[in-house]
Amino acid sequence: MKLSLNWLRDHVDIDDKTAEQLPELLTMSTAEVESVEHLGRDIRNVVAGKVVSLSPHPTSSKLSVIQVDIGSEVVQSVCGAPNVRVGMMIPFAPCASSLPDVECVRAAEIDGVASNGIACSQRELGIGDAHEGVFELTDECKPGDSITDVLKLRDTVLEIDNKSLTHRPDLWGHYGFAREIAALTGRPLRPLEMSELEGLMSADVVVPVAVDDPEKCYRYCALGIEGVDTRPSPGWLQTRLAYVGMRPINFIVDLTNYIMLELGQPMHAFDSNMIQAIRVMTFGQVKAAGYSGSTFTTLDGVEREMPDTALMICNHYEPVAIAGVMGGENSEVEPSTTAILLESATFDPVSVRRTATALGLRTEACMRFEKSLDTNMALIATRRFLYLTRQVIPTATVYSGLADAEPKPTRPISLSIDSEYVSRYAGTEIPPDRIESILTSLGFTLKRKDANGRSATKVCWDVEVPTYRATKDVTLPVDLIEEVTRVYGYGNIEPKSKAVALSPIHQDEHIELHYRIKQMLSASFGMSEIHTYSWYDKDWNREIDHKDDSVLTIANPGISKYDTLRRHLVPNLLAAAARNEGYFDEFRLFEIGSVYHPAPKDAKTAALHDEQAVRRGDALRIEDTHVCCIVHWKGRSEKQEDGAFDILKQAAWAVCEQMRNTTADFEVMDEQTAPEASLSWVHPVKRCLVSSSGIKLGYITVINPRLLDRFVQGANMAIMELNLSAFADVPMAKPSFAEPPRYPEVSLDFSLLVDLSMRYRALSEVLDGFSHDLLRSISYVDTYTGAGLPQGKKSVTIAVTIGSDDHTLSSQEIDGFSNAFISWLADRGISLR
Amino acid sequence: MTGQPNGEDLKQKLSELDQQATAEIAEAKSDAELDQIRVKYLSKKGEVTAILRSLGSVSPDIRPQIGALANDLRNKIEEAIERRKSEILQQKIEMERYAFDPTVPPTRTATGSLHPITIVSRELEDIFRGMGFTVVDGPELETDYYNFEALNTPKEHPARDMQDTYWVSDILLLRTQTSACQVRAMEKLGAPLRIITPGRCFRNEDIDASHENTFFQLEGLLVDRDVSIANLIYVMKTMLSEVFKSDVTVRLRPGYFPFVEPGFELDIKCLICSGEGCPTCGRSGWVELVPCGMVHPNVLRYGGVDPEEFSGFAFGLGLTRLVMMKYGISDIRVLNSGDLRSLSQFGIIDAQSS
Repeated sequence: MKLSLNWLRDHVDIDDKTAEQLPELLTMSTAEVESVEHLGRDIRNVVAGKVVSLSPHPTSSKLSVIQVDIGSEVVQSVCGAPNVRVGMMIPFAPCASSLPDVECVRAAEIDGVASNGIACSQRELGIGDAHEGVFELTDECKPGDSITDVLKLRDTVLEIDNKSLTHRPDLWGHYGFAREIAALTGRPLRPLEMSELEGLMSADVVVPVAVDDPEKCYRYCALGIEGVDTRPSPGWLQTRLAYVGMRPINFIVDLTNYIMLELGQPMHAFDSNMIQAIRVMTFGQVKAAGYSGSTFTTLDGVEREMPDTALMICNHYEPVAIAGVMGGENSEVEPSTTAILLESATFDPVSVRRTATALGLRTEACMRFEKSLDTNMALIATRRFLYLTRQVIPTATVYSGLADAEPKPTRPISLSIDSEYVSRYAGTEIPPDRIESILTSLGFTLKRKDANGRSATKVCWDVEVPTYRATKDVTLPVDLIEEVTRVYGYGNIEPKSKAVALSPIHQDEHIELHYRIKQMLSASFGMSEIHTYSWYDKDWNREIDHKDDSVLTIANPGISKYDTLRRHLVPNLLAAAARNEGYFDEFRLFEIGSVYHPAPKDAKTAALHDEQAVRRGDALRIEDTHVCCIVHWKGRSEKQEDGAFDILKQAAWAVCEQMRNTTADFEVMDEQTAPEASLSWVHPVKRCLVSSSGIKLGYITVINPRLLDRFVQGANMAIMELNLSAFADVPMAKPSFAEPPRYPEVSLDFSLLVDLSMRYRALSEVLDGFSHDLLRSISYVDTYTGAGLPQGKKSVTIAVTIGSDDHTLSSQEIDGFSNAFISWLADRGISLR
Repeated sequence: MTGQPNGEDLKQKLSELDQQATAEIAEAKSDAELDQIRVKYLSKKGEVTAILRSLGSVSPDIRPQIGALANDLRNKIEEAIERRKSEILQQKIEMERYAFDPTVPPTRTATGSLHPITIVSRELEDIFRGMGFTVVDGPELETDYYNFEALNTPKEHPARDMQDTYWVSDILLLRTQTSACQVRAMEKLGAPLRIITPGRCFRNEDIDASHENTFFQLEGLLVDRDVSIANLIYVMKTMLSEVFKSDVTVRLRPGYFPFVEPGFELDIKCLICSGEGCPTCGRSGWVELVPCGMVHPNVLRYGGVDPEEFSGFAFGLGLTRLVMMKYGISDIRVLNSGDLRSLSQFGIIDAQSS
């Protein structure tokens, strides 16, 4: 919102020094001042001039030649304005004067005629966009008067951050800010000049008001005024409106806007001819009363589909305005208007907001109504309107006296606070007198109470909150703390540490776990962490043939291809890998992030009855944390492929070992039972499931070769995706201790000839069946599949460790063990290589 | 040869062995060759040893003399071998002195990197852990209840305009702020409590160099008896001084957020110009950094905490913004680009040491 310093000065004294400090003062205690603009400073020597003669231009039909009396002399100028006429008072920029966009006006010749100055439009003066004609001055002035003085062009405009006003309906107008400035500077706020209430009652109510939905309309004041017209507003008023960003239209419309910008109370003027009786009801009620049609045309000429819940202002049962949003085309003020019906009302903020949102029509009025306005302002604004109208048109009279329906008046709120509470909450001692003076200056009324067992320092008050603060903002004692401390100055509060009871701090395991895994993957496995978006790129998913069965989607994604929340991390990481491929031959990526999917149907229906589960969202969605790693390398060799697969197995192993002191299990991924097998990037063979302690974690795969060539040239990738939320349930194995062997152990390597198709896991299960007193452990060494082996066989080398607790093994014992083991193997059809 | 060995022949033999061994040792190029020479002459079956062994059959009158000669030769060869070994080592060292280059870069195993958000988040977590805070997390796919309703922002509250929300259903949304964890934490941990919660947040806006629809915040919440504004200022100032490794000056000014009362914007004096005014701080001398405030009594109530007994403060640090400030990243899009040319620069070091 923009604030004019001149306007503020109508209501509170602001000397030049204070004006300079004002942005800082407001920013530190009220609302952020985003920018300061000094206006009218670059207009020099532009004066009021009277057009004394007018003749057509000799060669150009669009131009005329005018003589302008500027007090000291009469100057000739060539003018293109269609509205120029003899006797007109205009802003005139003679030679050597300056305008915002013309640093120095010079004598010129236009189509052969000398022109010694410019007859100015509003745009040339920097007060609006109007440029069709010369600006006609209606203010009292004589030729030669400085235009800067006549139009009050020198001003300073502060732009306030609207966000910091969300809770302050009273600050959506200049008067509220004047009150703040008065409180902050200790100067008095001038009472608002307005017509007496009796003046508003000086005529009978000709246009009655009835509120049919008292929940949505808190107050509706209507006043009929005649003897007015749609002349342009006085120049100073137009300047003010233009400077704060409102386009001047005509005096009646301008004045409704002016009061909205001054008091924060939106107003609307109907053409009197169109209104005989006001009814305030919802569009649904209007329809029920027989209105046919589902649309309404607003004064911007747009026909709008109306929701039934929208509150309408009607003439009898004919809608003439959308309450709090915009007036109708059918009843707007026309150039011929000579009488108006003035609306000043308070509507339910939620209702106005819903209607405006539904219509996509966020007007200045609706922005104010949705902040919860004080019903008392409706009448104040009406009185102010009549007062200002008569300042310009003294003959304006009331033809229909004030009709005032107030189903839900705003009432003052009373709160109790004491000085100790304030000081404790602030963390600093604020003297009771200071608390009193601050709140009083902001319009609060304080009454001291006798505190029971009163101490010297504790003072208790009953505080009455003024209605313009009582609609929503100040309803609790803590709200008064804000009022006191912000004016007292947050800078005057010394930082203080807090003493606390010593107790253990329990940390959330997940965050620590995720960080340690990130550390490990980057430090031990050379992987780089990246972040990708939480939604898929559907174009990309199409490219990699990926489609999930059950996903959650964003209703308002902005860009529609980004509407699907990710269920897997892989697609977005593959996209990142494809982007990096152009820059690096070899790289490794990982991401730890959330994936989302709908809660399973059965869980959903069960949980829907559980209010907590709905509130927490557990009944609706599952959000898990996954880790996804991609190893990318140049080349397509078998060895590289198996090496990359092994690196990811190492990573999975390390996660289990380092985070849970346990092992990872790698199992064959079965098409029938593992849904992962059908993911487009999963290899038909080179893949496995990963689990630990019987908890399924995810899978590792070499990228499907059919997919690979589509976006990767001459390189290859291996992928792992694990569910870390599932991993969190893997129990921590207790570290166990065993004495180191007292007598040396012996390690024997055996190379076993087995079928090529035999998995190590199966072999290992066979070996688990062997028992012997000396046996300590069996571990895998390597597999050989090269030349020199019988057809269809491979050689698996294992290391067998043997030992004894009470003596060093003799060579006879070692040989005895070997023989026993070999013959046990032979019984199971396994020979040595 | 039969009978007693001739004394002269033995002397002659020893002399030949001496010459022969001396020559071989002088020509030897390695320790291994020298060891072979030792074996050849001095081992159990060595040639000098053979002479010593044969002394028994030498006539007693010359036995001592021959024995002494043979022992001398033995010692001489032993010493010559050691000397030669030492020479060879010396030569090797001289060669190395000339050729060894300790300045070549080391061979490197592939090093990975952490995302800068991870690095800075961890740094902040460490600072807060040190101040007795618990680090917790919460869901990104949040409910209207925790993201808005329980934060004193009912439906149709104008403050909802401040955040363009991605809606998944009437109930589910992508959280717009880590503040969504406030009431969850209170429900779970009760009062008193002190937590921080870092995480990903979302706002539906167009992306450019300074705007992202996906960014990170770090929310903090402290609830205890008699918590004051002065406490809030203290914690903020201490924490930010740790983050920036210098004694930062902070100021509070009014800011509006429905879930705090009073609400503040916390600015720090610009670290680049020390408050003189520069392009970074928009010539104001101050940088807006942390929205914060005293927890609204209604929010405490939603969390099951009695506002008559407890008060508290909350703050929301823009983690993404902090990362950009710390590393001088001017284009926010780098962070979600997945581009290793940018992201691998951050290594795995702790931001504390950078």
